[in-house]
Amino acid sequence: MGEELYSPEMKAYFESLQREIDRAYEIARKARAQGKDPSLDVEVPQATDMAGRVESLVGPPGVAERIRELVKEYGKELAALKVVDEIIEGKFGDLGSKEKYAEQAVRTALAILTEGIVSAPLEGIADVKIKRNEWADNSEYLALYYAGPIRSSGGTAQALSVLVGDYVRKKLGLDRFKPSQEHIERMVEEVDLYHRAVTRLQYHPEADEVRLAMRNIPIEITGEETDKVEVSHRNVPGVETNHLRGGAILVLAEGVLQKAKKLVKYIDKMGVEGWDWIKEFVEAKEKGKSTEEPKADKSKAEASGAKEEVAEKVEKGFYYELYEKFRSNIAPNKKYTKEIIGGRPLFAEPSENGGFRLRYGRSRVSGFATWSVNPATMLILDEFIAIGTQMKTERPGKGCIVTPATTVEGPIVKLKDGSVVRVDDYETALNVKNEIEEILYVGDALVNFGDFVENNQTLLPANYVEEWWVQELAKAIEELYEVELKPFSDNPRETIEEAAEYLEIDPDFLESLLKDPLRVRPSVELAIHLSKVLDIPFHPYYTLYWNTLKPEEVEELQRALLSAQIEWDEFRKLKFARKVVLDNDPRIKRYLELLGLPHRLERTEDRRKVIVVDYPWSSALLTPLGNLEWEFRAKPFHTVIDIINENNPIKLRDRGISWIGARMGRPEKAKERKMKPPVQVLFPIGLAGGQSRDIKKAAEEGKTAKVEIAFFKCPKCGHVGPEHLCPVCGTRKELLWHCPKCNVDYPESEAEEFDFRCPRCDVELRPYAEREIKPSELLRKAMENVKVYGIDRLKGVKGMTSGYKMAEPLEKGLLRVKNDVYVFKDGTIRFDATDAPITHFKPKEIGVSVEKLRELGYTHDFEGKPLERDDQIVELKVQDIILSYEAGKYLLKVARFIDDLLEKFYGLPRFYNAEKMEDLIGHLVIGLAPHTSAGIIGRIIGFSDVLVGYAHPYYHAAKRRNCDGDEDSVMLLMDALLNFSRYYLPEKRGGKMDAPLVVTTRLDPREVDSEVHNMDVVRYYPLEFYKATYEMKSPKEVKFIERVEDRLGKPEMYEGIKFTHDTDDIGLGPKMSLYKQLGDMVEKVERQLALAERIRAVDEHHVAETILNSHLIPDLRGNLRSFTRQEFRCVKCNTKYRRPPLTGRCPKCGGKIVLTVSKGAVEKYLPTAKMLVTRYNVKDYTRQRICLTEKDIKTLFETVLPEKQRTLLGFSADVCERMIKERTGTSNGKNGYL
Amino acid sequence: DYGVPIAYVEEEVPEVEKSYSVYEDVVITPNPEFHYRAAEMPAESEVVFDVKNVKFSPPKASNAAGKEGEFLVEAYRLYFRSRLKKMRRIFRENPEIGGIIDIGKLSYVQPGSEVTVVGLLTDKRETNKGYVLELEDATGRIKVFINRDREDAKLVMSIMHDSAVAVSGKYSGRGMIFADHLYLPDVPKVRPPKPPLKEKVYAVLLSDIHVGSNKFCEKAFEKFLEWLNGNVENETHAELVSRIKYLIIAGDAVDGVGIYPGQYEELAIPDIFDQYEALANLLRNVPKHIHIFIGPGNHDAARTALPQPGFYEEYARPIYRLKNVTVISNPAVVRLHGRDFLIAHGRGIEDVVTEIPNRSHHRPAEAMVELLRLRHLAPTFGEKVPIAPDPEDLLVIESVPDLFQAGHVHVMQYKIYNGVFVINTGTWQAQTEFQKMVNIVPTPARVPIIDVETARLRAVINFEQFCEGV
Amino acid sequence: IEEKPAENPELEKAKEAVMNLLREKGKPLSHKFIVKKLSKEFDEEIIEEAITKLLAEGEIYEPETGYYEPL
Ligand SMILES: [Fe+3]
Ligand SMILES: [Zn+2]
Ligand SMILES: [Zn+2]
Ligand SMILES: [Zn+2]
Repeated sequence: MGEELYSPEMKAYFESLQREIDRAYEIARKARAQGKDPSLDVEVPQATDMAGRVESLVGPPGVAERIRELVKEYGKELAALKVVDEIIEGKFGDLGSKEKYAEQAVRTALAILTEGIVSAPLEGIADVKIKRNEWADNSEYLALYYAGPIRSSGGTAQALSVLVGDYVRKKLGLDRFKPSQEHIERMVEEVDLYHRAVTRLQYHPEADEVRLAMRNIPIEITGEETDKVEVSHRNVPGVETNHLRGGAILVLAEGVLQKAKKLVKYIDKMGVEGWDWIKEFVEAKEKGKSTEEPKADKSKAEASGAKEEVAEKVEKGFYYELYEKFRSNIAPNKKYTKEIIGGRPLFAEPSENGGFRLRYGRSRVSGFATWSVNPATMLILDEFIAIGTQMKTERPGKGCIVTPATTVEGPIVKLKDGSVVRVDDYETALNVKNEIEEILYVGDALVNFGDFVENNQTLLPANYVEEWWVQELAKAIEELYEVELKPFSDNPRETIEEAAEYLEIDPDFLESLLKDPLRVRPSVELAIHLSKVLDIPFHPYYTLYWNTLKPEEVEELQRALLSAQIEWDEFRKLKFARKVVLDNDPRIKRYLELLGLPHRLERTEDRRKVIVVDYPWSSALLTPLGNLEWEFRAKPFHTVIDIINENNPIKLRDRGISWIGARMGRPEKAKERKMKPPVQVLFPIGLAGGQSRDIKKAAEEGKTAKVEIAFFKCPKCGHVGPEHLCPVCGTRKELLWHCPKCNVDYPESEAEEFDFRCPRCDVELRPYAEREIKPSELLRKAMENVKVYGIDRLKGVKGMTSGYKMAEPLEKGLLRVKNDVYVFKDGTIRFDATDAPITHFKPKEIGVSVEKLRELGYTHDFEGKPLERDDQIVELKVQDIILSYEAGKYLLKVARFIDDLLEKFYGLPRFYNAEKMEDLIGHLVIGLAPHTSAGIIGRIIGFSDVLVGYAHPYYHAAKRRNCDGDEDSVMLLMDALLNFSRYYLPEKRGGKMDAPLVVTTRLDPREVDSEVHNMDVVRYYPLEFYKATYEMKSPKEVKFIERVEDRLGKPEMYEGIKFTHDTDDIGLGPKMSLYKQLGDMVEKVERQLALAERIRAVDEHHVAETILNSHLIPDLRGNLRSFTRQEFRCVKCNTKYRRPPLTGRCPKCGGKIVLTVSKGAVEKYLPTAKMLVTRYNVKDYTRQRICLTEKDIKTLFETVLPEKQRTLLGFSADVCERMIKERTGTSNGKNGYL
Repeated sequence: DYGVPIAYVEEEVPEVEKSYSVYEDVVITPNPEFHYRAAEMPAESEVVFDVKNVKFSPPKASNAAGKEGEFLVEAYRLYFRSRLKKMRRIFRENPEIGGIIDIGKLSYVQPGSEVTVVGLLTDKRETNKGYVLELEDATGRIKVFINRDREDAKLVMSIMHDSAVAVSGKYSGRGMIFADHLYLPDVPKVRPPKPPLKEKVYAVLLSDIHVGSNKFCEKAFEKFLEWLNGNVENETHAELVSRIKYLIIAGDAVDGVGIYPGQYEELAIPDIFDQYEALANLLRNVPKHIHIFIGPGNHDAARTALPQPGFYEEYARPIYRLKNVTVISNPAVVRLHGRDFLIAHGRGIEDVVTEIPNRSHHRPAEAMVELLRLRHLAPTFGEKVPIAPDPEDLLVIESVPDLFQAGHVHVMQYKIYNGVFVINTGTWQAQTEFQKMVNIVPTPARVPIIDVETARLRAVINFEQFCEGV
Repeated sequence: IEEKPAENPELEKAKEAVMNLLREKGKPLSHKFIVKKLSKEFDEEIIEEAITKLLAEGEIYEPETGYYEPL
């Protein structure tokens, strides 16, 4: 690499990581070399970059070097094609058949295009075949067989795989795929059926789009069946299955068609020919859109035609016009409200006033797809949101996770005693939490500009906030007094003093106001003074939600104020109100509530209730109204603020224009990974271990187990058993290959000579056989080896799913039991957590001392001052991670297990010597996401009491995760090095996913998921930005906010990233979503609706109806359906039967036969559903569906189960009885079921 | 069970003017000139099999320890045992089949001897040389091999999972029978003729009217009603109408509510009460001397699992109030002038077309023949057809009917099989969006008229031209 | 101690300068700033006097104590 990519500090950081990595590998190699594991070496190769990962993942050997050269010369996309050329030209050796060349080329190219991280090139492409156009001219063509895991590569890479396939096809001189009508219609049906019966496609193409693609794509997109759903276009020649081919469907719909526009860019870049059709397709689509849109506009215009004409002559208020433009440009997006799950509340309807108030910015616990909200909001929303809880959002993206930011506004609530409170801090929130009657305003959602770029979301007009005001302040000072001041930073004392002198304010105050405008605010009289002398808008904190009210309502309010008791005061001869007392008129009170104005009710001496507005809110209310010195009069085409700004010397900006809706998605998570059922050692025990697969129990009962397992034979003394190392003489044993036909075993060396075929039967040999093992003997020996005796149980597996069926040494299991940890399918121990981004932290937040941090290379805070105190803000290094306490506790146990393992099993010194969680600081982990096969090294630097895994956004992107609720795992590096083996991985499709097949040692931001390149890295968004939002510009037009993209390839890509909003503590907020603490569905739904009733921006009836339609009814109907078509199961051996065996017992083992879908499962949600249709205004249709479903359930069991007396309450109270009576005049009272 | 039930709180719901018609205005004046011969004939009809009339004996507590789940498993087990028992009775009527032996007793049989067993098919597999079937009866399971070259090997294709089959062949001794013959329960090739009737009398067979759907062919149905009221064009039609004495509707009388996701958008009448009101308003225009038999389908307000005893009375009350209507179950057997009409909605057809090669929902009568040969309306458990946990199998076609009517797939087709007239009666619903997508082309608004004496088709009157959207 | 010079050309110039400054900014300006800004050209007393004069003549007003804006 030419120019230096890192600063000396970063270089030192990476080198220190590498030193630690090398140290761990060295120890692990020593352990592995003893021969106690399937392989003699560590099985997690290191890769420094994409090229290395590609070679490790898919090969061919030697390709990494070439990829590096080619990428440098041509860039990634073209390099992928050049590699295809070279593979096919045989530069990487003879691969045998043409098909093999094609397969290798496609896999390698796709791996390059997906950065060598996701497992799609490995698992997403099941096969590559050369087939014939039998139904046409019998010419040869190329077919790509896709499998389900292709999903993990994302739409663009899926589309590119097709392009690569076509390139390979041409390179091999093959003809096009010439689909018959049958082929085409088959795919049309499949796409539709998949969308309907399996999962909703993100992009559901029209039939004609599928037809166009099928006719024009020059290779066959086909695949394995993924779902047992049958098509009606059966037995199409060359298509092997009559079931859905999920992989192929995804590639066509969400790949080629959905990403057509992106594909065109690549086609041009890569110069692939014969794809003009897709350009035309994209053009036609764009044109279609543009012809559609004006049409929609026109009809709208026509509807309000007459008005429009008048409007031409009438002058409109500034905000009136802005709202008009806003409404016509950006419509509320209802998509996220189409589904509401029971127990996961809707927090705000689409774009509804009082929902989440959009605030632009990036907190230090944000990166991409993250919303930061005030922890008070989390609390007031009944703790349904905790730190890390996922939300489904209206915009800019579809989802996000929630992190805390104490510097944005919290909710405004009305309490049961009638008072209104602004809840901006956690304390207040805790105090009022149980007294809330209505949530008038939910609070701010801090969304970063980068997310608007990523999602290409038109900028919504910014709401007026402190970070905007302070810039207007600084700008005014500069223009008027020629003193240059910078917000959000330290300013020279002389300039501060000069400005303070002109403004006649305290210089210390001015200094801190500029430095931290989000926390420091002027008093209301000072705010009035500043607005007056600098002619800037009223400070946002004192600005009320004026435009929530209609002008007529403000007129009414003003009249009430004229007869109110007002206490006036003066500051620098400026008049302001100290207190306002109003009659408690419910309408007037409502107006004050809607303004978001804090007030309270009080009883007067004559026991009248009055509304009291105290300082400073009295002034916040009266200042904009000119202290009643002018008359507020409604005016057509003017909003309240427009009218105020026309009349009042102090102007207002709207603080509540843009609102966003959201609902709860998945709850946050931080939990050790346990398989189901939990496993402590990958050792097969068959039926001998009983239900819990307990090896200890089997041993105690003296059982022998018959299991499929790999055995090894000692070349020296002939010992045979599942151990790799001979327990008698300590020699490394040889794997026995087995002939399933004649039952003869051949040691590996012999088997190799026979080419792994039985010389007698010519059958392929297997690396395992069904053999008898004696758990008691094996366990006794293992216990002696590691000196672990008194254990309760040792949970093995029923059978191995891996190709070789090699068992783990039992000793590992014993030590895991001793340390109370569990193992995953690949031999490693995992801890899963929701991904949460963080770019800056304070030492005290993560429980690490300043000294320790200095040792770790943190010498300065983010502003460049030497690190001395534990409350300084420090920029996080890109591969450092902050674990949740839960993770810390668990990994501590894992560390002890590893130390025991090293000491007692491998006879090596202990490595971690960790007594407490903090001792893990500085140690390395591997971060690994599902659907990927490449891990990334991380370093633990601290812990936070939250249920998420905090790490740099780059780090998450390196795992190909964004943060909208994804979760993934960490494992201790040494654990992976010692215990991971490919031999343990399941053979089935997808078995190689979520396994550390390769680990990246050094994070390169250029080689991570490019979504993070849109993250903005500035300290504040400039005034230009706020102006651009009022113009509703496309985020792409905003060039003046620096993003990661602008720094790629420079040392600054690693350092000097800034954030716009601080937070007091990254762990402040509820730890666990209420959702996880609630019991049954009735309780969940009741709490959810209680919240809906409280939030002004939510319509609870709509919520009830949506829960019914999107969750409860599908579940009820689905379970009802599956009950009557269910499988039956043997409790003992778990064999499944399509119908109960006629003898009444399991024909295999005599066990009892039970249902797989219980009656309880069918009825489960009925009480909840009935509660909803009883209490809320749902459609008659919905109510009838519930009543009919109840009847369906009742009649289903009527003939078998004796009817119990179920109508506890008189039937007239039952909603269905009631409905029937109302509609038919009579009711027999027999319909109630509950 | 679920804690305190919730009381319904009365709320003010403003009366909303209905935006749809329930056909109160469809009042057809009968042609006063028209002479109905059928009105003068004595009725001779009887429902000889109806699910409602069957008394089940629920599983005894001694067989199941009394837990809910165990009762239900036991009920399903009894359901299949009852099927086996009924099927053995059918096989015994076949003179070709010799002494049937219990599978459990095979272990006492000399290897190599000829045996005959009857069992339900649990599994079938194709091998290089033939087919391996696994059969089960109340005493055990047995594997059966039949060589591909055997004449009867062709029958393997027609055996659906869980249907009954008889097998004769050599018992190998190692848990396997090498079959020489396979037998389906089937219907006999010939049956004694029924005594002729004095006079011609006709029955109209309908199904899948789907009232309430926005694709319901209301114009066509009204035309049909006018036709029934004597507004006919020619003598031939006059003769037909004059002798119609029965009208049978085999399910999906209305479109229902909540039958499939997103149905709301496709309903003209999104209210179950009003759907039946609308249906009754149409059917009241059927001349009073014509007796209507009507049974439920999967779209109706009725038990969702088979068999379906009838409509939920409280929702379908307007139908029950019509004087000339008899509600029948699905399935049911109606005897008209001594001829047995087996009426079923026909969900079993769905499983036939997925399981048996070369069967298609485009040709439902062929699928119905397969069911007839298996003597069961929905043999396979666990596929598309929901089956209730009843302790007796009422879906066995115990006696051979003269006519077998079904609907459900919306395509009219008929066939004669071993003397039984098999007909699928189509629909009154034009092609829906869903059907368009999966390539189902319905044949709406066709009226097949059956000559009761012969149980054969007399004529089909087509009203499709009045059906919008076709 | 005060003398009253009738027509002072220096004062007129100062008035002119103050007016120009206020017009240029178009917004209220702090007394201290005006003095500082014009201190190179004029004596502080002259500026004070100019402001007082302008106020008296109704050319400018005091939106807040110590701040001046042209009328
Ligand atoms: Fe139907
Ligand atoms: Zn040995
Ligand atoms: Zn062999
Ligand atoms: Zn069993």
